Amino acid sequence: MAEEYRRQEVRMPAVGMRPGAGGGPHNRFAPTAKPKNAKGTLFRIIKIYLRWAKTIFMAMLLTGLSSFISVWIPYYVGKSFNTFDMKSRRVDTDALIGTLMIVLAFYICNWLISFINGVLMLKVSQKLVYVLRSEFFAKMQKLPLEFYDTRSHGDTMSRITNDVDNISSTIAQTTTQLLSSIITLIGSLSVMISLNIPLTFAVLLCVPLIGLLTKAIASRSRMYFKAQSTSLGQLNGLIEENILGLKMVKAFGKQEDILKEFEKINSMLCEHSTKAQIWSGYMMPLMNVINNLVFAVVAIIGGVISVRYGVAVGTVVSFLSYSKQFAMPLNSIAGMFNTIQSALAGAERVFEILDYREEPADEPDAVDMTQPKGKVVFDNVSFSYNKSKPVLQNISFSVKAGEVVALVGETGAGKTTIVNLITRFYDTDSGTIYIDDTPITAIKRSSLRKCFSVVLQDTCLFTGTIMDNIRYSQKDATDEEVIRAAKIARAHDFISRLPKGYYTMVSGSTDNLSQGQRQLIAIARAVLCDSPILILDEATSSVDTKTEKEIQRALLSLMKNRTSFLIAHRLSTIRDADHIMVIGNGRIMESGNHESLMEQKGIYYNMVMSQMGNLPA
Amino acid sequence: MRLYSKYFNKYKIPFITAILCVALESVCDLLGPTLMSNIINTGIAQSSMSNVLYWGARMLLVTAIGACFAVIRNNLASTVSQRMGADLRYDLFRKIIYFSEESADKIESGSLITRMTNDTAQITQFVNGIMRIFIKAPILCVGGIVLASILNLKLSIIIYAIVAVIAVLIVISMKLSYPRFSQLQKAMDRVNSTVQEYLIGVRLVKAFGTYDIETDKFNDANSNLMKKGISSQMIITLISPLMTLTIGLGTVIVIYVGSRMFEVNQANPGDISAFTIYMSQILISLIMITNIFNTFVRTKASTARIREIFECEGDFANLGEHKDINGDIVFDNVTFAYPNGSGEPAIKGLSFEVKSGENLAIIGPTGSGKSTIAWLLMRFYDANSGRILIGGHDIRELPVEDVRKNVAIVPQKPMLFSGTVADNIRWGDSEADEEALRRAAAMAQADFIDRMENGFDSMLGSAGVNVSGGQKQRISIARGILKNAPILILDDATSALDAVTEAKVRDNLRSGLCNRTVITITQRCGTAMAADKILVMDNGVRVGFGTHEELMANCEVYKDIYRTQIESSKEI
Repeated sequence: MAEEYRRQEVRMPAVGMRPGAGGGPHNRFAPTAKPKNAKGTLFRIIKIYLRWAKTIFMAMLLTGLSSFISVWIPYYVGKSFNTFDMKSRRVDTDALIGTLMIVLAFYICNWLISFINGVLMLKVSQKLVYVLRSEFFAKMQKLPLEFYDTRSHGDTMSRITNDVDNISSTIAQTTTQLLSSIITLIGSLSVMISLNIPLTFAVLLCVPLIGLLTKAIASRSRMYFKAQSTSLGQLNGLIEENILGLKMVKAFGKQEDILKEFEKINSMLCEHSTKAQIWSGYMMPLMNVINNLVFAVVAIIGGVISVRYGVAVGTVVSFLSYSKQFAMPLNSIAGMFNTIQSALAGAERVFEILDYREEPADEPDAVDMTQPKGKVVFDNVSFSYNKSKPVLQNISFSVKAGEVVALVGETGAGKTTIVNLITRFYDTDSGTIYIDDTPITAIKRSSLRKCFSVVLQDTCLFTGTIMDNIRYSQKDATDEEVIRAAKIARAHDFISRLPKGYYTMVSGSTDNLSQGQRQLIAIARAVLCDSPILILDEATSSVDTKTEKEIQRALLSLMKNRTSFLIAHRLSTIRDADHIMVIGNGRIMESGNHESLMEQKGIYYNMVMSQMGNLPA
Repeated sequence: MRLYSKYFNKYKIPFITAILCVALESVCDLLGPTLMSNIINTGIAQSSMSNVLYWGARMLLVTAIGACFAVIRNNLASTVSQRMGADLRYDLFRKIIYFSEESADKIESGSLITRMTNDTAQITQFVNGIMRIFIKAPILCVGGIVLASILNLKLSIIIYAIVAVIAVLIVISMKLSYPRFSQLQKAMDRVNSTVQEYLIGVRLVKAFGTYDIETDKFNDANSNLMKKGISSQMIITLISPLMTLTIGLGTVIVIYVGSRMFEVNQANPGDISAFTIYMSQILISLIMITNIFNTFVRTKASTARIREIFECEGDFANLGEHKDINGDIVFDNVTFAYPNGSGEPAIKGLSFEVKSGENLAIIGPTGSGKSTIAWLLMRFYDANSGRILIGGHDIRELPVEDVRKNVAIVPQKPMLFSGTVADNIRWGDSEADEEALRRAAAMAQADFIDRMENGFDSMLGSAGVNVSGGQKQRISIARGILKNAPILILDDATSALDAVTEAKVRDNLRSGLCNRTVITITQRCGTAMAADKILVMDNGVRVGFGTHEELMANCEVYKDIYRTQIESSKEI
């Protein structure tokens, strides 16, 4: 399955809108993810925001002030028309200039406020994302390995990028917008009431009309949006699967069958999206009709009133502006609740990680291991990744310091699990593991880590130079020490042949190094670490024979004087181990050295024979 | 945009009708303020009730007509854009699914998927946009200016000035913002890759306890992102309020100058009020236009990505004569380099021959060209020189479908598809009956299927049960067996099986498929030893060919492999 993470694409907001304001054509009827515990999540977000309480409070205040001022602008604009005397064609210039000065002052005030507010909010929201991301990452460092083994990378990544962004940008901006819309609504309403009550009723006519319209459109539209997202999911699944498996599609000649299936889902998707779009698309033009209807009604009633009762022209002009201004926030408020809801759902996804159970902390009386020797004992250890499927059952064994132990068995038999338990990547369900007779749960984690060098199945290199990568296990090692380690690992030769030598840049994905060379670097890393216990998990898997020999030589020199755990498919690598354990069904099926196991003619014997091309008895 | 002409032609009539409707709708919108100014000038200002009613009725009528156009336009735009989107998706998918292997290698599959999903959605949205705001915004902008000029030419000079100032502000902010936003994208990508690397290497981080290094790396990327985030949005944060201020200033100036003109009978209050409305309408349409510009940039990028797919080469044409084919295979001096590779041949001058019913093992290190032989045999690529024959026929003279029908492959990675276990195995032969299915599964040692809750009807894939790597491989082997082709290729297909199960599968194949040619690609010497013939590859070159005994006698590379794998490692 493909990663569900999609690269977050930065979008430039339109000039003239505040960043994020009305960002994207978020359709109000499209289904949104619903938060599970909206109230709790909201409180938690508020609590996070309160860390910047002063700035946030200030910003809210400014937003309120700015909306309040905006409400008055149409009033004064309208009032300026009152200075026009239609009969004499004279203008009361002093009064006009006075009114216009007020309008101008309002505009300038608003400019200053939105300028300050904009900068404040921008800094706070960016700072908030920064802090949240740092906390998220700090939390990731404390999560047990189980978390990483059970969750896809894509999911975790989209939480730390998209969802964290959502908390800050969407929630902050939508809340501010919501605040300003509500103030605008209430403010306009009070100004209108104070100006003229009958005209106010005419403007309020839009409320039930918009309500009716929304109700008529919403249910149909929602239904089709839901159907659309279902078929979209199906179609994307089909696309993903077949593109990833394209080779098989071709090899088995399944193209036409798949196209038929595609066409079926594709036309269903087309039908649903068309209907969803048609229905939701009715909203804007019909809103416009309502708007203009109200406008006309206001004009007519205003006309009647001004003719009959001599209401000032300016009042009518103000009302005409209010009627235009009133319907807009009314419509957007409904949309904003939707946006906030989906942002809350995103926030929950972030909080879920922040609340995830951490790796148990060190016991208060945990000890530091000084000079560990490398004796390892498993005493009656049981373990399962999930309760229904035990992986290890009552395993007991003991390894003397300096011994080489090989673990063999089918994939999934539990070999890697034993490694996971010794290193305390996972904790046992029951039973105890001792290192030098101290239970590992009583050893400080930082100290326990110094007991091991590991070379894992997938050689993982980090972006940086080869020098940095080897030094990864011992960050204060000198260059000389790094080079000495590389020599022991037999990596020095190929590294010095590279044009930039130890300063060659590598990364997880670049292929300037072969798999074998990567493994040599990983082994050098383990050499540098110089710990009493060495763990090699399939360290020589798929490399050419020459490199494999090199690696085996490097490993042999590395295993000297160390307790070593070997996991390998190839039996030749392990036949010289002091101790071979065959793992199967969660138990140790056989154990002994090569010769004694071969004599037993049991499982190990069968494995060796079938690897040599002979059929098991 | 030539790419889309096919689709435009198909939906020409509704498309043009829709555009016509938008244009008319915009005209109706534009008439609003003028009608309003008439209500004020001839009605309210002159206290004439009949004029208010007259112009009010006009205005409602115009609005209603506008709404009709809008509704028609909405239906047409939605239908046309979605149909076009669906057509485009279908054509793209058909193109991809019939890609030549060379094309499939060229574009990463992850990228193909996003192109199929995100980019087509972007195009659909754009097409829809053309029939909505793309036409409407410029009409509103130009129309607003024209109508304001008609209403009062002298007063409209102020509008020209205001529009010019705003246009300059927009241009400045776009010019300054674009490079900053592309930097923001880079900063975002850096955070992503840091996190991704952490996720991939988490075991090492835990094993070495290098939390501080990782935290430093992340904090660095994160604070860089914050800085870029602030700087990219700062411009817009500064300029947007300035635009509102300009409009405010314009309103004040229009009213003041209007009042002077009113006194000399050159302007009416209604005109002035209509002017202020036109001014904000022009502002809104200008903002819409910048929005369109942003969408356009994105659509252009999507189009380029889609075009790249359409320009890719398709698979070999299904030409040639149908012939009955047996399992004889001949490679005659074949040289091949991957079209998108380094240019270094993956296979050099390779010749070998296998008779129908024989077992061939191909052994060699990674990158020695073993899998390439399999893909060439299925004609996923054509050799640069030399010939490949199956059943005595050059594969280039056979229909491609026939070639692939006669070769069954079990790949390294067992690619399974969502559906039941039975569905997946039936990929080999969609008409196979229950018994054949079970027989194939039994040969692949896939006895675990019966132990699953729904047996062969268990669902696989995201919605279904989890199967281990070894189980997937066995299902994949069963699929290959069921295809019943004269040639079966197992490309390292048993790597996740333990030695005993693997040996059983091998034995089943030998006894059950004695009339088929079986090619086993492997790295394990033990697997290769049992074959009738072994081809030893190293670096794209054949370094040995023969039975195990022959190779032990005369092939150094093979002896080396044997020794490192089977014999003790102490002796090296």
